[in-house]
Amino acid sequence: MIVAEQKPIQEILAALPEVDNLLVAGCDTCVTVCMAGGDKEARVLCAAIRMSGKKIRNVETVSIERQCDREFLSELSDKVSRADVVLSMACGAGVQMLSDFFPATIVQPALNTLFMGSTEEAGYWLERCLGCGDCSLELTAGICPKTRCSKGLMNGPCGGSVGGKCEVDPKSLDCGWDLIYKRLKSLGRIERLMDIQPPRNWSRAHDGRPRSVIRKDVRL
Amino acid sequence: MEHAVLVIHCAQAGASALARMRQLGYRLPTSVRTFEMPCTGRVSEPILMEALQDGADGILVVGCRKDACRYLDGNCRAERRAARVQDLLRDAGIGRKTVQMHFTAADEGSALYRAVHGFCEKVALQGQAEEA
Repeated sequence: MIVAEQKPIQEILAALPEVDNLLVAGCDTCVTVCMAGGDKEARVLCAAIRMSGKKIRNVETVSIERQCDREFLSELSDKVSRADVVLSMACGAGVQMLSDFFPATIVQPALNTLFMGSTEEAGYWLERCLGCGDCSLELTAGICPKTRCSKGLMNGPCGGSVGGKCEVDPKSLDCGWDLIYKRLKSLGRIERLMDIQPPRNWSRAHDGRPRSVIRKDVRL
Repeated sequence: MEHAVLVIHCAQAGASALARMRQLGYRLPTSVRTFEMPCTGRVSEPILMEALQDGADGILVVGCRKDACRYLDGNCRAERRAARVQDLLRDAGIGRKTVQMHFTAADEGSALYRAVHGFCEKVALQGQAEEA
């Protein structure tokens, strides 16, 4: 899922123009799971804006299933038509989709979108995937060296791996290659480490233009 | 000027301490309202923020002592949420409002009265400071 965090409240308030009608729009998917932009967070932010002293006559809140899908955005039509500004609590994709769907409305982000990751435990989300476009997790027992190794090595570990920790932060950062080694060993596939991997094909990762996926077989 | 204070208490030690307080003859000011929850763990950030938005100047969340919550850690969760809301109020420049956590045992009627009274004074002072 996409992991994001809320911008500092001072930044959000400073960026808000003083208009008559503000809509705070939450998103019930990824940003709800990472507790950044769901219904609860939208209600809290709405109350904070109302009490902040900003001269905004009417502040309303709503939350939809996902802001990155048009079928859900259409539910917002009535409320957006009454709003001078929409403060979107979705990830960057959601903010942009909302802005595309309602091009005549000012849309502002309330979150900083960070990475694709997972919930490790309550309150702790970790980056898992870069979206490199050249997945080779079968080689490393399901542990990605591009995200979990600080150097992104394909043939690690480096000499800085000590006691299972990475030299970048020896107190708390696990060495990705130590994790890979242990997992391969437990799966009985340790011999895979003897295969030297060539450099990855980075041409499929983000580098300039927006990437896209087109499926001719499902396009209408 | 009276400042509205809301006391959100749990149905366990919170309710018992409140009842004990009344048995001892203590009466809360008219500006104080009480609201019972099964456990303070049910007190979420939206509940706190919306109560403040709707007129409360201060909210005192009263739960069981730290190692005595019937639902294990509801009171600890409430403490963290109250602290988070207090930080948000500070960062958003909403100095006239305040949220605080108070832990009580079932028989601590006098102590609860002093805590509520002290909190009311704090809310009044904060309100006056903001108005000045």
